[in-house]
Amino acid sequence: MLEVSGLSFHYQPHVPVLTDLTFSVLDGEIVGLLGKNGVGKTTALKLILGLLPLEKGSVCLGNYSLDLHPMQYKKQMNYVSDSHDIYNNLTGKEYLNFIADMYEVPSETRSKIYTPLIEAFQVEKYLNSPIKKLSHGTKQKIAVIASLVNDPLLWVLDEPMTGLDVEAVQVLKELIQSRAAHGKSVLFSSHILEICENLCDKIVIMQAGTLQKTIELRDNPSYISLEDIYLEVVNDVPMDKGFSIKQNNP
Amino acid sequence: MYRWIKVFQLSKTIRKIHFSFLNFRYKLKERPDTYVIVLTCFVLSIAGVFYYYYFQMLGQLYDGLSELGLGDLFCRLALFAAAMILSIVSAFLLINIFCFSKDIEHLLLFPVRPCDIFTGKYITVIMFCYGIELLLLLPACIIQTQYMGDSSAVITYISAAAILPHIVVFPLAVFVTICLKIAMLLKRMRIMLAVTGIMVYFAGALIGVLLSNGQTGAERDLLNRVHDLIVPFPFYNSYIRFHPGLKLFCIILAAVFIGVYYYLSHLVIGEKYAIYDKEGRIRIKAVKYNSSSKLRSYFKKEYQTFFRNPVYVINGLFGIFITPFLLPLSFRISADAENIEQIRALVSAPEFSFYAVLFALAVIVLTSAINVVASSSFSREGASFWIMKIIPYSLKRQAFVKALFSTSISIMGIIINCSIFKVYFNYSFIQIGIISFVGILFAVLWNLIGVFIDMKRPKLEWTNEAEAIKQNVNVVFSILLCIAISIGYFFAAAKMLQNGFAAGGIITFLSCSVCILILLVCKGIASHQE
Repeated sequence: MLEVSGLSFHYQPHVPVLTDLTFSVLDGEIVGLLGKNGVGKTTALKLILGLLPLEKGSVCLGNYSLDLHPMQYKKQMNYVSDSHDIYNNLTGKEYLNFIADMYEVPSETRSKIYTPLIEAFQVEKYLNSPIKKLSHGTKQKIAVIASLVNDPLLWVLDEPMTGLDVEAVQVLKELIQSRAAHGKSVLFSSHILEICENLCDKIVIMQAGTLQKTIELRDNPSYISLEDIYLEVVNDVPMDKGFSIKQNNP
Repeated sequence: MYRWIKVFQLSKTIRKIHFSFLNFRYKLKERPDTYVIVLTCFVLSIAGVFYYYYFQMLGQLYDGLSELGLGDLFCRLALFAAAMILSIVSAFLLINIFCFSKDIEHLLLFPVRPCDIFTGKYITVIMFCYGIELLLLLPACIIQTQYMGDSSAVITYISAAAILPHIVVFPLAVFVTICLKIAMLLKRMRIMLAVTGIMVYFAGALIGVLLSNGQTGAERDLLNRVHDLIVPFPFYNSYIRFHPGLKLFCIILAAVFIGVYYYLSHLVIGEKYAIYDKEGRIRIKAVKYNSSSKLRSYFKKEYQTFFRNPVYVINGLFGIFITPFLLPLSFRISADAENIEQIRALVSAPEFSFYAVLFALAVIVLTSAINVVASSSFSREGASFWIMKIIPYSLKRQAFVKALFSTSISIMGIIINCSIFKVYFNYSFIQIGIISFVGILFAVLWNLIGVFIDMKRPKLEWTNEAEAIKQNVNVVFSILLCIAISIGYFFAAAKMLQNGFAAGGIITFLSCSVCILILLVCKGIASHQE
């Protein structure tokens, strides 16, 4: 279980990007991070991943804190970036092997993990080509495959569907659901509300660097779309429908 | 006229893309950053010291030449040196700006012709050369004007400086443009063709010079040979006799060169231009996954990402592999067979053998100091830096592997250097052993310093890989720091020699002090926060 508490961060003095951000992702839960552009979603993800130094607050995954046990923490999670920036001069196979080596995954295990994923995403024929020659979508597929080599407790995805074809989006959705079914957590940010609505158990809506609302989607009546809820929360319009919304920062 | 305005606007944009340090003025508008202030002061002070010595050196050269009654040779020598430096710099700039850069893919989206973009790039190279010329020739111009007491030297320098970059860059640019056109027609990698074109051009020029020197007769004295060798540009002898007014008029040639390049590039490239990279062959074969240790895997990754990128190979290895070859080449040009035999005898003579070791060590230490592989190791990660942060392999360990990788490259340079010292200068095996041992210690230190500096503040935002090396302030900082430490060591060694220290004592001092510095830098890297 991921516990984020009291996360604050600023790039420039006196201009906070995040202020006291607190939320959790339970085991087997799929959580979507939503918010307008520039509210601090990516910064929050970067802090959770350890890409930025923690200034205030704490991030814990299971028994390990990012601050105190960074290596154990990192071993339990993995990430898919939205930028498609992976080692361009390696071939797909070399990249997959490199990531597996870094997570100390034995040869037999990595073969068991990678083979079905490679088949599902149909990337066999690209594995011996340099990554720089591949399309954005294929790079993203390889990044997704590599990110599952350590069977992470927490899988973080930043705009994961960008550049993927329809079949690959379907495979990715199934993967996310299957991981949750096996008790693993998934946290992802997306602007596509439909995907969040179909996949997520919980939506975390951020505004001005802080948590605005947490929405338990399972509790909501099926006839009301996430879009309505999101727009209502973000635009601060009073709501008279029967949604289950937890107001974190009243 | 509108077309030319567009070309110059394009050139301005290309300058901003390729020379991000020109955007330094924006930093000044922001709140002063301690790092930027300290770094600027350090770089400026070091540059100031170098420039001061450069000024003094030129003054002494002029005095020496004047005493020999060769004052006229000074201008010729200064222009020749500038032309040589511009040849090397412009070759690199042309490869970087014309071939490595992918900006043309974006610029072609605008309603401009390929020749507009190419001319913009040509002007960018020329402007950079003008900047270098200003630094190189201004002291020479001041010294000569001061001694001659009239303004004719100023006019000579201004007009020569205006046309010199064009004389150097124009043929190279035309060669590269033709190579790019061939690459487009063949749908092949443009970099290899352009580099080959430049090498063919230089090889042709060198053969031309050697053949023309061969016809001059054996009885000619050294002075005449030097005089014949240092020709800054064609028709220099006629040019120098021109009336000052005519020399000023020659400046117009700069515009003529730009115009000619514009029409030539239009003629060569035509209306359409496209970039093709080599198609990656898709080879389907059984996928096997072999595990290896983190250290081995990371080292392999470093090796693969570096050597598969021609930008890194050309920019990163130039200093290490070219410098060793320059040494025998310079001896070859300046000394005859008899002199070389004398040098070999000196190297093996007991009273001079230690001095020979120190000289070789100085060459190796300085060659290792200009190694840019370590000081750009984190910056080269660029946008994929996030992978380094998320993998469960601590950043300090990654830094040590990067230092190991860059040291392995430095060691390759040391091996080449030692081979040249052994084969060409006849150093003994004991001498080579001492040189290799101390040289490797220095190489380890320089690489650790480079990695440590780049680790603290890597330059991760770049569009062209060359920026990670060539426009990286960490690289400059690291080189300057390593050279400053080297100079300190040279003074210390000289002082010890004067005070009669034994050779073993000096070598022990060098080795031990470098080991202490290595430990200190290692401690610095190990204390890095995750």
